[in-house]
Amino acid sequence: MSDVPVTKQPPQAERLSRTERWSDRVNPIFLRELQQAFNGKAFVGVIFGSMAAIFLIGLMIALRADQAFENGRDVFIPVLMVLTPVMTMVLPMQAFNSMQHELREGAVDQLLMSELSPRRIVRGKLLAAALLALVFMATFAPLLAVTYLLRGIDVFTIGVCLLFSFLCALGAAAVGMAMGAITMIKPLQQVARVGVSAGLAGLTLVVMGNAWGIVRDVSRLSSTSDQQALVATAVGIAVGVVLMNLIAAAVLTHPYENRSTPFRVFPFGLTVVAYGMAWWMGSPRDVTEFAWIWALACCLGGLPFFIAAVTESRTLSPRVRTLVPKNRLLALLSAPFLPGGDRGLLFALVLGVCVFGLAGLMLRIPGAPPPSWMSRIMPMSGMVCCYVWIWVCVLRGLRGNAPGQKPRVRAIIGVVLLFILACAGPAIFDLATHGQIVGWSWPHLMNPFFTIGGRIVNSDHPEALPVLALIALVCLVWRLPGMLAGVKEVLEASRARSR
Amino acid sequence: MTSLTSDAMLEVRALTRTYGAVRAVDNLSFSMPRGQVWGFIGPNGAGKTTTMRIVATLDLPDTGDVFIDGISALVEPRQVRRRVGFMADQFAPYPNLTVRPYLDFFARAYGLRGRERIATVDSVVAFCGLTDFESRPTTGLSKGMGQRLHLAKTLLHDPKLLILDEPTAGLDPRARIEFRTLLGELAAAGKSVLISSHILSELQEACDGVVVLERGKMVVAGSIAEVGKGMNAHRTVRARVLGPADAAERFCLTQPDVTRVNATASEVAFDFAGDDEALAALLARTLAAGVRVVEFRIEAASLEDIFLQMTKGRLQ
Repeated sequence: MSDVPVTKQPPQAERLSRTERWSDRVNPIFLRELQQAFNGKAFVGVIFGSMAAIFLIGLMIALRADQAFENGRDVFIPVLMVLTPVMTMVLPMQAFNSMQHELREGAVDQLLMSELSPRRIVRGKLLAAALLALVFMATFAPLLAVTYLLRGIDVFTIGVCLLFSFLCALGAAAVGMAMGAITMIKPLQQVARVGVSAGLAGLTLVVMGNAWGIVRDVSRLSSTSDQQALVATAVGIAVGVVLMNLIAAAVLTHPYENRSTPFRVFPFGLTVVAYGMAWWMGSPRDVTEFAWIWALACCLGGLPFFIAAVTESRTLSPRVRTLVPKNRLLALLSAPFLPGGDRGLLFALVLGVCVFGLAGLMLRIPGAPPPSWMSRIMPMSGMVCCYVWIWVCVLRGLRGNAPGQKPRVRAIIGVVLLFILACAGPAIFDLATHGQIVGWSWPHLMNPFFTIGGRIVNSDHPEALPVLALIALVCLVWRLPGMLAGVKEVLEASRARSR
Repeated sequence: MTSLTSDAMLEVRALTRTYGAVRAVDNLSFSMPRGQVWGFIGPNGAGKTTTMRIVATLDLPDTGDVFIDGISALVEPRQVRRRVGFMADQFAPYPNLTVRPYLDFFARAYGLRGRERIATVDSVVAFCGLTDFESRPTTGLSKGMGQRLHLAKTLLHDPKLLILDEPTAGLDPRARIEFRTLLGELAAAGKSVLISSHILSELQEACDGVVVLERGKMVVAGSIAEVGKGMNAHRTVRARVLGPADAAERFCLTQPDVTRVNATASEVAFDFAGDDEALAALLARTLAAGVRVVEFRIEAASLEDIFLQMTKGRLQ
């Protein structure tokens, strides 16, 4: 029984090779992904396909040599067109499939039983995708050298195009992984697969179709000092990669551990990045306009996040309790980001206050008077915000009191039915009593389409916004005890931990 | 309370887990001593896998707690994971990866480094009889070899408690016997093992104790001897005699507390309802009656008997 792994054998005196020692420091997922990729048919196929493409392009150059073929750009663009599907289709689909496989047949359970964290798993996969992208690009290196030697294209253009190919591959792989992780939710499996395939195919076609234009624009940029757009795009892709990884890691996290925080941090992170980009690239006036559009986008785009957050169960699981900061102030600040439906409502409130507060602050920037259309976008944002808040509060109320099984599903169905009733009820009443819908009246207040449409397009019923704000305030008062209880629970968990 | 000091390797306390209206596990409590192999049996849907997943920190109960080596699985899952090896009922091989790199990957994932990692992988490969299969793709292994690899992976971090969910399901008889041998060796090495299986004769030979579940509720738990003893007032007694067993059979039929007498050429078996004192008296009377007894033994209750008697085959 000496060979039973009951007692680990002591390290032997003999030294390990440098490679072995180095590999101990590397993310195990990264190593495994590379091993799988290098053993896989896709890798061999891509390499041979690339070789064939290189041969054909080389042949093309040779055949046109008598026609004084000396423009490197003519060669570079076909190279880019061959490289594009590899980078934006093959690699991301590999990342998608790899993540999906991880979630099938309980493989992820085995990983989560080990020392690997979801973040490490995602990071390992992304690093592997990055290295594979570099390997694929390296395959084309001889041909890329030829494009430069043929003249007509500078190193800057080649470098920038390759850098963006790499970043696009990385971004698409990150999206692929996030979508692959989302397939954990069974109803979304097919949707995610179709969505990712279609999205990547679309991206590939767009890049391939515009290859000439892209190379021309990049080439033009090399001769100007205005390269902000390039840097901004690169930063944007990098941040997108980080955020997508956050989503993938959150989905991989064990259901009873803290899965909510990354989803709640995501909109805040996105807001910081979006403001940074707007500030960097635009004038103060642009930033002011952007701020109000962003506030509106946050209300509408944040809806899935709000629905997920407020329909969570009320209490913290024992495992999440162990993650609450011991410091009381940190615990208080972390409350909106910790799991729990009432804390989810608090998260929606804090996000709303932040984006609208920032938008309000932007109005005070010197030299940034609100343009005329601001008088429309501001009330529109305000009204959308009120509607979202009211319905999210109703959803939380229903979730808290939903009877029987699947309270989350029942609450969502309930709020949808109420919303339909609020929109269609007054219209049906008008039809029944007057034979037609007789324009906007107070019973139509909870119909956002009618109310916002009338207010913005026709500048009718300006009194609707204050009334909506009042209802939103009433909802706040209604849900305030729940939110305070949610914060209290976090503080109690913090106190229990510091004891 | 996050931990407790106890001799139990595994202690399950008032565990309840519901899925909608279905109570998969209902107020389940039992404790399993260190270094023993316990069988976890019950009909389909009895809550075995749910309980095992909770013990392995992969699920969370609605109420109750599980302590492994005195540590709460609810509050300190990371600590518990270092002590538990969970072999799920499904083996998930990775495509384009052979056996050795597969184990090497999991060894790295469990934080093993350098020489220790290499030695541990060598050791589990040898222990699980995978030496000749090291360069085989994990997706191309037979069911039996797949289960061996699955077990090898579970052993990499040297867990104190092994949770094996239906490890022999779908294996042929030879692979089952080989697996049982591995289990015996693990038990001899001092591992605590909780194993679920529908093949009760297999568990009978390997297990020290048993937990019987039905519809999420515990029916009985304890060592097989204790459970067998408490299961039924009747014990089966077998007596081997010299000469024809007919005389012994006729004699037994006249004795108090004796029922269901069956005789073969040289053996008579009967159910006996009395205690040990009464059994000793019966043996004395038998000898006095001139029956030449060469062997007289109480037959231990088999797991199948326990299972059939304790459960009613109700499903949920």
